[in-house]
Amino acid sequence: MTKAIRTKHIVAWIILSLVLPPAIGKAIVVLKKIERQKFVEAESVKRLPILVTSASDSNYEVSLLADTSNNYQIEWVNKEVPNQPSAILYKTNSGETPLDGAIEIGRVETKPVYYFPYKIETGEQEQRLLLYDIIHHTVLAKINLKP
Amino acid sequence: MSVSYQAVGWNRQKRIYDFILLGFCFIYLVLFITFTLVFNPEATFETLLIRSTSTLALLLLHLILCIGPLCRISPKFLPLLYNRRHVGVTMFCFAAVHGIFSIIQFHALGDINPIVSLFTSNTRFDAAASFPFQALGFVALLILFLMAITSHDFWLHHLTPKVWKTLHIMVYLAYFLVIMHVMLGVIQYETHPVYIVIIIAGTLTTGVLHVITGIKEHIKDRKRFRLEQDGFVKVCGIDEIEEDRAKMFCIDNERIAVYKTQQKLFAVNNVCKHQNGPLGEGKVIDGCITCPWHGYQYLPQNGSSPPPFKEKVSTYDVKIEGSEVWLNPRAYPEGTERPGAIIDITK
Repeated sequence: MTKAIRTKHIVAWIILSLVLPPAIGKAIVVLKKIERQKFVEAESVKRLPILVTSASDSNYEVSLLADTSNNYQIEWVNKEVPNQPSAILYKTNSGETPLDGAIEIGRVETKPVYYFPYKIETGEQEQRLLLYDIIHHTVLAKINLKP
Repeated sequence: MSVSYQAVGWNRQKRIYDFILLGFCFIYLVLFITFTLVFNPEATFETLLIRSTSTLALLLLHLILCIGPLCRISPKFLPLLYNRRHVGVTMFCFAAVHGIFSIIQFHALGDINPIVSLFTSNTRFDAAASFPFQALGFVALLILFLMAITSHDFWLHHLTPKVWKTLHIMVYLAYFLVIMHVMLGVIQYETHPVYIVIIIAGTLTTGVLHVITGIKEHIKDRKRFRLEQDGFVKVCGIDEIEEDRAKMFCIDNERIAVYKTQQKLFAVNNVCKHQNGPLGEGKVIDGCITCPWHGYQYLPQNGSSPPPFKEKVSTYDVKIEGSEVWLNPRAYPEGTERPGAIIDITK
């Protein structure tokens, strides 16, 4: 290598060592803004027997299910094959986007039915859900489940 | 080394190299797909394709970036360097599969041109968590594409080594874009700490290797040779140079390799005409100085490649006084015959 090329390599690595650590750090810091829970696969979950409430659209039907021990579950039924390859279902209190304190419920892809465990806090009446396209960052559906 | 251009100048070493490379890629893909299906049986074919090719390309990119400094640390790694451009092109192919299928999967279903959709569907450049990470990957893929299509010696010759090397240094920009594509993309959704640890370990290893070798090279360049006599500089003792090997000295910002072979010392410019490889780290094979990177050869007495090859490097005067080697850093025009310095074995 000539001295000029060696210098270019050194300059490139000095710039990288200055820029990469804070950039990676920033990407890690923003991870914490979304509260997550483990996705549960449909096959490993039994459908809870009591239908609390449901809502539907031409593309989907979503139901809040429960059992006698106050365990809750969200059933998501794709009526049509979704246009988006992958979307995340969030529980949201008042926010318009998932970053506003939303809780992840699960990932909705192209399967016909999904079941996700669900928690209802004491005193909560209305359950607001948000289906969010994580690739295009657009809200696909806003769902209100009223008992 | 080839007198005319061929798509690939195959030889036994290159076949072995590529066989091992493709075998590694195949095993990696099989293992990745198997483990993914075991731990996530719901994974679709598209997901498996996109993720297996992307992780393999990322792994190969780290390997490519580490080969250079590893070879500076130990010559044992030089075989990895011999056909590095094949690793580069292989890496680009896997990255391209990832990129093309991702664009089809995520952007080809709408009524907007998929490339336009990639750049316009998300414009949240102000939010790190929602940053349009796909655009970063797309730009990196373009850089890797430019590097892959110009990787052949035809382009090296026609662009000149200086321009070619400058173009290929853009791999560092591509590397930054790829790392941020991963950190702002899949890492935001697959938040298991092991993925973050893998990425940090990869960047840290690559960075540390480059810093260590950068310092090592800087120290070589900083060594001062002060004793001057009629333009000659005392550089070392005769015994410090092994037979059919060289020692490299940096004088007036120019690296010069002093070779000992056939009871003589010869001095040539350290920079190989092919890809600027370090001739001083090679050895004499069949009477020719042989570059450790890709085997380009030069005659020690005149710095010319043996016919029919046409590469030439500068030569220098070297003399022996007692047991000391003296070097004149004034370069002769490339290919100039020099007598060398005879080593008197009776002394």
